[in-house]
This record gives sequence, structure tokens and C-alpha cells, in this order.
Amino acid sequence: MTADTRDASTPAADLGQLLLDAKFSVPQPRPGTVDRGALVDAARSSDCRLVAVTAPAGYGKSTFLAQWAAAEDRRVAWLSLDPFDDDPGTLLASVASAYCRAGLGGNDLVLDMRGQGVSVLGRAAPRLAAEFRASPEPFVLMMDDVHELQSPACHDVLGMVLSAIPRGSQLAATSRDEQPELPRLRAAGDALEVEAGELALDASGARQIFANAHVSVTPELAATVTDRAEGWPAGLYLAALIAKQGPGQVQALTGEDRYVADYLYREALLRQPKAIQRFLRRTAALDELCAPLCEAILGSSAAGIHLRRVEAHSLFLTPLDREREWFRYHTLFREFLLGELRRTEPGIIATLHERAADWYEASGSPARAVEHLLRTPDRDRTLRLVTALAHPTYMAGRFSTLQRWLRAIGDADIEGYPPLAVQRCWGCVVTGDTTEAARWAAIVDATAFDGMPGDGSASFDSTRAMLRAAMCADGPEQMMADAAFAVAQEPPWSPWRDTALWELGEAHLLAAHLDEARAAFAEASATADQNGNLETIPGCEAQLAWLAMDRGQWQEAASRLELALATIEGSRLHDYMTSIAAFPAAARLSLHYGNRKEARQQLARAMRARLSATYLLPCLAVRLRLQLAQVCLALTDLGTARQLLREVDDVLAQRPALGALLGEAEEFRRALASSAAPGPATPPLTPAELRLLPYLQTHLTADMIAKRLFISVHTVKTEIKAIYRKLGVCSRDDAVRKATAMGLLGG
Amino acid sequence: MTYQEILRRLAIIDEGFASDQAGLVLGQVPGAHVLDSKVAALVRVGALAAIGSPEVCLEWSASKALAAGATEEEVTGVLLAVAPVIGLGRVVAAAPGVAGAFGYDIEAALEDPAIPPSG
Repeated sequence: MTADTRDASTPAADLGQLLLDAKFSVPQPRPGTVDRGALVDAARSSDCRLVAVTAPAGYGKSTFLAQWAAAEDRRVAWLSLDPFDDDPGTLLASVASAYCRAGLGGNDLVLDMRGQGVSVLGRAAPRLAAEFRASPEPFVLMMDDVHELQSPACHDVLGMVLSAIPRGSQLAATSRDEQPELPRLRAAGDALEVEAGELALDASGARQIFANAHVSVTPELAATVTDRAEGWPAGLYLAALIAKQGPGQVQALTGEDRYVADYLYREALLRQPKAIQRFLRRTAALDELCAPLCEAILGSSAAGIHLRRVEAHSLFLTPLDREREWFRYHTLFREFLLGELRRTEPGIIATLHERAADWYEASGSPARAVEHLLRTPDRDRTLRLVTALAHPTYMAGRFSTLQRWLRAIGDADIEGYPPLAVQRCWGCVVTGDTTEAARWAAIVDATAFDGMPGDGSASFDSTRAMLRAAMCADGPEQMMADAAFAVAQEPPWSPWRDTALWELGEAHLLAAHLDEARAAFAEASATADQNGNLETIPGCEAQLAWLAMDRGQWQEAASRLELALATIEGSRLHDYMTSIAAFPAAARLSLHYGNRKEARQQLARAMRARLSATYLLPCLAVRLRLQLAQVCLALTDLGTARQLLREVDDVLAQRPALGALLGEAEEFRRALASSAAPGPATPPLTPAELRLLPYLQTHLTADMIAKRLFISVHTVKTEIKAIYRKLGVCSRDDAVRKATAMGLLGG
Repeated sequence: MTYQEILRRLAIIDEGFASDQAGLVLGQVPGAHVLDSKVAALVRVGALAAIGSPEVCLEWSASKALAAGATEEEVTGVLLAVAPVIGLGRVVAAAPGVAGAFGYDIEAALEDPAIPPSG
């Protein structure tokens, strides 16, 4: 990756910032909206922790929340959800940002939300929940458009966060459909429901709308219109707008909501000049719009003027910033416009998205460019851009975004572009998806690619060699050859060189070349520091520390571990594969200095982190467990040491050729057999039990947990009993408390 | 302690509770000088299977045996060894609990179309 693409991975500060501001700002109420004071009062005084606003589009759900926010004297944390939030990690980060922007929450809260997979439920969610419980003052968390959250995992974390909202604080959430959290809280009498019926307007509301639009209407006509629109606020606003432009149309309202909407929007649109109609239709392709962006996609300098005119004359634009430079169309209107665009100019849609992508790329927001490219048939460009962004996106802790892009592109297209296939395979490796990883590794192995890979590496062969070296499926010699090849290929400024060097160090360890291994790890760490690839540092420093401890150089080990742990803390790298090695080393060091408590804490972190080290990264998986087992043996925790050794054997069954690690495993097996600890050995939590543990924090029942984890209900029940027994508790709450105290859950 | 908690603690086999409140000192092996802890733990698996114990007892005893250094093969070996004297029903009934201790989901495995044929 070149320096350019790295810089480009962070959206231009002003644009990114601005869009974020809009997401977390209470929308400014439009002039002429009907006052919902009574409803706001009812919600505020309800003392219910959840206020669920459920109604179809156009009922003024957001407006209701905005009015509530304006009337609220508690702190208000506002969050407008979008489709990107439909990922548990992203969602938690958004909620945390909203909370912090309300002047609550510690500085590190948003950073702490980084993570992937189940660690979101095990680490980030409890961290945020604890923050809510400890809130210094009451607050109202307002979440608009909860229907954007489709995945069950999002509702798992949302449920947890909701349970942590203290008395006196509230979550107000709007949605088009009933929220999954609602039934549980309804049963507990802890939810207030606001539905379409309560949001529908009566004739006096209609009169107010017409009056605000300066349209005179008789009480009878107002009653008729209200009746025909069934009190639907958006319909009444539209009716007023149309009436203002051409009297006599108001009475034509008939039919069901959606048809009324289309009819009304079409009426409103047809009253605009042709140029404005075209402008509206085409710019509907944009999620958010500003004058330069509109000019870019329409290829016309008049776009800015059109935008001002639309803003001045219509009710359909929501400004996103105080300067009124960025806007978004109202959802329903945009849906209508997009329908019109597809009907009248289907051929132009892809071009519009391509031009938007050009503009975003030129403005330094390549991630937004990807979102537009995904809606075009231009797969080549999408593949190239995603390949370039893959590594920096992962490094920025936005793994879920990367996974979403890859899903959107589809496996068939990824297979046709080897550089991205390598990234896809890495994704499977770090998430422990063994079946898919094997499939992708085979695909990558069987292809060739001559061009520049575009991912910042020197060549496709080099990237592939690094992947192969990490997976070490063909034994230590091949791993050494692959790692050495990649080191030779990647120049000092390459963002991949530190990875290649780290792998070379691992390969030397397998060959028992300790001096060479040390040199490679030291260079890897220095290169990573120089290139800003912080994730490589903890793994290298931890390995160097372990080797130093083997030689009795405790002072050196201490300073190296200090760097490793500080890097992990500072950049929130707890769940990165390369960080895992730091925990057993830290436990060993603590034990050497007689600090058994600290040693146990580090051990717990490592036991938890080991889940992600599968046989896909066999060196890491085996070495981690052997190191952990040694610490356990020193702590006379034979049960855990034996469990770890069994897991080592499981990895070795898949990857039998692991060089010096085989000897180390045998040596440890002998040491374990000859050790006699007093008393019976206590079994630790198995990996399966550890995977289940975070779900005990949620309100999910055994059968729902079973569905999440793809295991049988029966197994879930067995595992829950075993977890309770091993933790010495007999209730779910106590299990969560105990596991948190032991460091198995939470940050 | 409420009766509810007593029942819960019994249902999960809380060793400390069993020893303090029910006089069942499960944590110790009285014959430790003759049988090492692994052998004793394996014998307990066989005995619990023989008397038709509930699943949680098998899961508990098998995970104790693993922690004492037994392998999965040794534990399943015990089941096969006692099968002729305790009968088909008891040994079959013992299998799910033992599997639970291994973290092996028999039911899911039986449903899984992708499971490789065993050798």
C-alpha cells in the first residue's frame, strides 16, 4: 500500500466529521410541524425505560423524538441509525459515540468498542453497559430508525445495553416494525408504546398544517382531508403543499397510504420545472448530497442553484449541518424519486453512482466511494478499491465493514480477482472459519496474478506467500521458504514487511534458530513501529520477552512486555491475533516476581483470547497453549494445563508438521506427567463453554443461544450447568459477575 | 439458603455445597495412596454409568477425569469396559453426559450433513 492509499483510508476530516455530526445531532424540527407536547409529556413522565415509537413512514416519528429532545432537561444522546449500523460492533460504537457526545462517558469509551465477532458481546457490550449503569446523571438515549437493525446479533447487544439503562434514564426508539426488545419490557411493565394511532393527526392538526402553509381551508374540508389521509401526517403536509400550488387538488385524496403518497409526490413533482424534476430524480441516487457532489454527478454547474431552489421551495430536504451544505432527502420522498428514476431513466443509474464514487474518491473518502461502486456493475474498479482498502480498514478496527463489502461483492467475483481472494482468505483465518479458509487457500494457491496487487504489497506472489506462511499447512520448511521470499520481496517501506518478518521469526523458532528468530522479531517490531502498523508490535515483543525469560533476562523481558501491553491498550488490539502472545508472557513474568494475582488475571485474558487461535494459525495456536500450560503448571493448576495440552493435540492432529513445537509439546507432556499437585485437579472452562459465556449476559433463552452458536439446545443446557459449577455459582447473574471479576468477560 | 438455591446447587453438582451440606465429600479420593487420582476418577465415571445416574453426573465425572489427566479415549474406554456388566441401556444413557464434558455436541453432529465418515 502506498502512503497515498493509507491516507485515503481515513475520509477527509471535514466531510467525515460532518456526516458524523449529522448522525449524532437532533434533527432541527421543520417549521410548521404539529406540536406533540402532550405525547412528549406522557413519554417523559411514564417512568418506563423503553419508549417504543412504532409506526409506518411519514407518521412523524423522528419529529416526535426531536420535539421531545427539545423539551428534555436530562442529557440527550441522539443516534440516527443507518444500514451500516446493522452490525453489532458498529452499532455499539455508534451508541457509545452518541453517549459521549451528550457529555457522558469516558474518553476511551468509543475506542473500547472496537472488536469483532463474539468479542463484541464479551468485551465491548459489557463495557458500555457498565458505563450506562455508572452514569453520573440521568439521560435519554434516542435511537431513530431501529428497523435498520435486522441482524439478531444487533438486538442481542441492544437488549444488553437496554437492561443497563438506570432508573430515571430512558431509551426512546423509533421503528417501522415492532422492536424485538419490546415484548420482554412490556411484560415487565417497563415499556411505553407509541403507535401510529397516537401519531395520527386530527382535523385540528390538519388545519394547523394548512395554516402554516398559508392555505385557507374550511373546517369541513380539513375534516375530509384528514379522514381520507387517515390522519397520516406526511399525507397532510403534501396535501397542503399541493393545495398551495394548485387549489382544488386537496379533495382528490383517496386510497391507501402508499398510493396516496405516490399520488401526492407525483403531483408535487409535476408542479416543478422539468430541470428541477430531473435534478430531484437523479440526485435521489445519493444517500446525502451537497452542491459540489450534485454538480459532479449531474455534470452541470447549475446543480448548486437547483439544490438551493429545492431547499427553498420544498419540504423534502433535511439539512445535515448548520451551514446547510449537506442534505438528505426524506426517506419516503427519496423512495418515490428512486422509483421514478428507475422508471424513466434506468440506464443512467450506474453512471450516477460511478460519478459519485469518483467524487468521493477525489475528496479523500474512498470508503464512501466503495458504497457507491457496489451499486454499479463496474466490478473491476470495486475489486481494486476494496483490495486497496482491505488492510487499512482492518487495521482501523472496522473489520465488519470489510466483511460487509466482501459479502456485497460476492464470492464469485472475488474468486476472479486473486489479490482480493487473499484478503478474503485472511478474513476466514482471523475469524477461525476453518471450512471457508481451506476453500479460499486452495483457490489462492491455484491462481496466478501478474499485475500489481494494489494492496500495498510488492506482488501477488508475496502476499500469497505470507498467507501460506501464516497458515503453515505444508510444514516448517515451506513456511520458512514462503516467509523468506516475502521478506525479500517487501521493501522497507512496505506496510506488509513487518508481517513478513514476524512470520520469518516464527519460522526460525520452528527450526530452533533462536538467534535468527530474535533478529527477525526485533526487525519486525522496529519496522512496524516505523510504518505505523502497530498490530505487529505486541506479538514480536512478547515473543522476544519469552525468549529473554528463557535466558533468565527478566529485566529485558519486563521492558519488552511493557511495550507490548501498552501498545495493546493504546490501540485496543486485545482481539487481534498478534496480541495473544503477550498475555501468557505477562503471566509468566508476574509469576516470576511473585505476583500470583496478576499472573492469574493475565492467564484469564489469555484463556479467553485463545478461542480465536485455531489450527488455521497453527504455530500461534500451539505456542500460545504451550506457554499458557507452562504458566498453569507453575501455578499447580494441572486441570487447565491438561485441557490446554488436549487442545494442542487437536491442532497437531490437523497440522502434524510443526518443527520444534512438536518437541516442546512432548517435553511439556513429560513434565506434566511427572508433576504431582496436591488435591484433585479442577477442570477449567472449555472453549465451547467460553464461547457460550458472553450470551449469559443477554436475555436470550437456551434455544435462542443454541441458534446463535449453531449447537443443540441440549448442549447449551449442559454447558450452562458446567459453567455454573466451574464458577461456583448457581444463577445467571452470579455467573456473569464472577466471570467478569475473573477477567473472562468485559474489558 | 433457600430451598430453591439448594435445588439449583444440587442440580449443577456444586461440590462445595455437596460436601458442606450433604456430607458428600466429592473432592477427595480416600484411596489416593492406592489408586492415583486419574484411575479413581475413571472408576467414578464407570460407577455413575452403572447406577443409571443423570446426565449431569456423567458430565461432571468425565470432566473431572479429564482434569485428572485421563484422555477422551480412556473415558470412552471405561464405558465400553463396563458395558457388558451394566447393560446397553445404561451405557447408551451415559454417552451424552460424557460427550458434554468433551465439548462434543452429539446431537448437532448427528444432524450435520458435512460430518466426515469415522475411521
